[in-house]
Amino acid sequence: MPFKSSTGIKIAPFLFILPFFLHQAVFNLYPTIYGFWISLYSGVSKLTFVWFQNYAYVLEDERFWKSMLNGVKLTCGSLFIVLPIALGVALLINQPFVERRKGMFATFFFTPNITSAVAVAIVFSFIYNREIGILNSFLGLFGVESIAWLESPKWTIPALIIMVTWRYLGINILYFLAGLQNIPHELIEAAKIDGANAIQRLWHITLPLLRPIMTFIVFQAIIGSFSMFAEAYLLANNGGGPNDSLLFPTMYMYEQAFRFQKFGYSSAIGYVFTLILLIVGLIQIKLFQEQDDRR
Amino acid sequence: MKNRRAMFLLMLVLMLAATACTPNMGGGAGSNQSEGNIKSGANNGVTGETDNKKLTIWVFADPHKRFLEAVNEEFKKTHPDVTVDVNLMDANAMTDKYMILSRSGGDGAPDLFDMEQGQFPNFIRGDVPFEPLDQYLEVDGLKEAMSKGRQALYTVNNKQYGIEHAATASALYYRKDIFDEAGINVAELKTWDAFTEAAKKLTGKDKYIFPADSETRTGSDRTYFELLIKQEGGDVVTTDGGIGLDSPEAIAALKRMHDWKKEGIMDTRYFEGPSFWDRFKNGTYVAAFGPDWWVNLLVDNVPELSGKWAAVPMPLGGPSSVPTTVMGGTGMMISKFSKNKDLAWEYLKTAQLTPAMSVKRFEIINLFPALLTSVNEAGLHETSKYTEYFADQDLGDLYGKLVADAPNQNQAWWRPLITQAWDKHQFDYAEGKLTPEQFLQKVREELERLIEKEKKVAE
Repeated sequence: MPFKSSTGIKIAPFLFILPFFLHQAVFNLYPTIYGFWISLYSGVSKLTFVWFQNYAYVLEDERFWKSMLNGVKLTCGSLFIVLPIALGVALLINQPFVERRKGMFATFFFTPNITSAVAVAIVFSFIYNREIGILNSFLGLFGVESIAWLESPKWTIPALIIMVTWRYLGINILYFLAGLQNIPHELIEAAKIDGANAIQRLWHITLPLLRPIMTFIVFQAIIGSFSMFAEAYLLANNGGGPNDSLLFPTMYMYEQAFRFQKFGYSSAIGYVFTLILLIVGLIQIKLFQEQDDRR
Repeated sequence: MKNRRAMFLLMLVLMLAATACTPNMGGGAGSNQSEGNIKSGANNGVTGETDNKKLTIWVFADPHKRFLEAVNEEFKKTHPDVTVDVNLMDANAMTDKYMILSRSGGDGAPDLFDMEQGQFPNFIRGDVPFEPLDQYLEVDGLKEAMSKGRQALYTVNNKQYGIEHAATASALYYRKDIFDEAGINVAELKTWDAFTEAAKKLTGKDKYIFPADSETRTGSDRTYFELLIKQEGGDVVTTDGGIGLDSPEAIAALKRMHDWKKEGIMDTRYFEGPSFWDRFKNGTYVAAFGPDWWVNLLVDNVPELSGKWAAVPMPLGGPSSVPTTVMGGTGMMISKFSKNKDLAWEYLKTAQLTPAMSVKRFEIINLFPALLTSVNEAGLHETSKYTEYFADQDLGDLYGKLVADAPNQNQAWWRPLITQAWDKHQFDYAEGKLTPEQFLQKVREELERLIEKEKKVAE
């Protein structure tokens, strides 16, 4: 007997999608609303309703802006270092002469991505060790003086970018590969016949057709950079690192909530952070769309 | 229009739902549970009136777990029906987990919690989610049983929340074989100046007397600084709760380390894990100073040097200095959310407040007791793997004498902020861009700024 209400509306489809919405409501919607609600409170045990005062404090909080600046620096590293390398490797793997070993390459580059963040951070903290780290030993062969990768505020972000490049290269290669495989071969062939060289084909055919996947990849990179937590937290020895140079917004939220018990303030940081990312995301989508329209 | 109305109604419902769930941080059920629960008295530890005959304990250090397993044996004699579950967890994860539990009604909280003293300030803003122990101590006549200095670490607003495991009295440990060979009698060197002068002849290329820190993963001068400032009679938190970072004692402590580094007495590099201990094995470092529990680490990590070490009181520094200092500490606390508070107290009493268990702890993990009634126990002078490590030296005798001089460590909610302020300028200091005085002044200013900011947001 089909599920049908007295008004004739079919109930079965709603029942099928109900678990998802229930899950969303309990684990996403409710915490989101509750988080907003407590962001309007101040205090530790005895809470006071303070309207939007926490938001005002966040906006003038140097450490919050420092964490956002660190997010920007890591985003730049992701966009201008990780993604170009990933695209280059993806283009290479997509060549007919490596076609048969594509799986092997993909596995090679993807393995760091499935390695535990804690293990990665611990291994890299040894690699970056100023005295006994393999990186300084290697650089020493070329006469480079020992670098304080994790002690100097100047070097912590480059150190993190190197680690992030190693760790997230694989997943970005896979995204680009997926995009490259959707580009019709006929277009490339036609361009070849018309006399377009490799760079022209890349610039005028491959990259424009990668735009949809690039929108996603770039947004992922931005979100991932600003939400950096485990790796940076462990590299910084369970803190924000020298002069907060490894402090990221999510780490700051965690610290304010679980170290200083300021759950209201922490929630306000979360909301401001989300709002900023939302605006950045919308601008990015708009920019990509505008370029598409122009074409 | 209809849509707008529907949206308005939806928002109204959500607002009401959220209002119904107006945050009620801490307190709550746990507070009520704690009332009128003390009935143990001097009943020889048998309560027999528990709802649930299981005690759960959270600990963050393996040595503490080892000790508590020995306590379980003892506890079983008087409480055969009680199961004690000791859970070893990562220190930060344990604190976070308890913090979340205490904020969400306390369901799943342990009965007893081993609190690292450095983590306690995280809990002392607002309602403390642990049971005050004053009444229990009063009833059992144990109010004066513990060293006051150690208890200050767990006392907030005149309420005591934890019972310390160890006195953490510190001594100077050195490679007797190497110093003897060089003709240096360390026991005769009563001041740091005399020690430094004599020890210089043992330094050279990759040869230092002390490491740069005590392998506590701080990766900075802060560990030894905090040891030395207390030896000098100061503390980063003053007795009246102020900032003691640029006091004369603080400057003397950091200057001493600064000079040691300049003279090659103290290494300027920081190592951790096996590479830290390897440097003791290969003779890069031939001495260290630190609390009783640091010896535990030394013995576990450098077993091959057993029999080659000796321990003496720390040489004196300035006019107010004492031959020892304190560092770290762990207090066992009863959770405010425990359903078996009386039983938990009985366990805590057995573990922390009986001379027999204090002796046991010293024997198993070399933590000299903070329990005053136990310092004269003959068992503290028995042979153990630690005394063997120190060529059969009576470590109990040494720590026993030092405990009387051990300074206090003062507690303040802002103590964890010191790390942040310190880290801000540490690199410039390490690079020689700041003198010890300038550095401490900058750390103080940064700390003041952070405290003001924290106050502003939390109030």
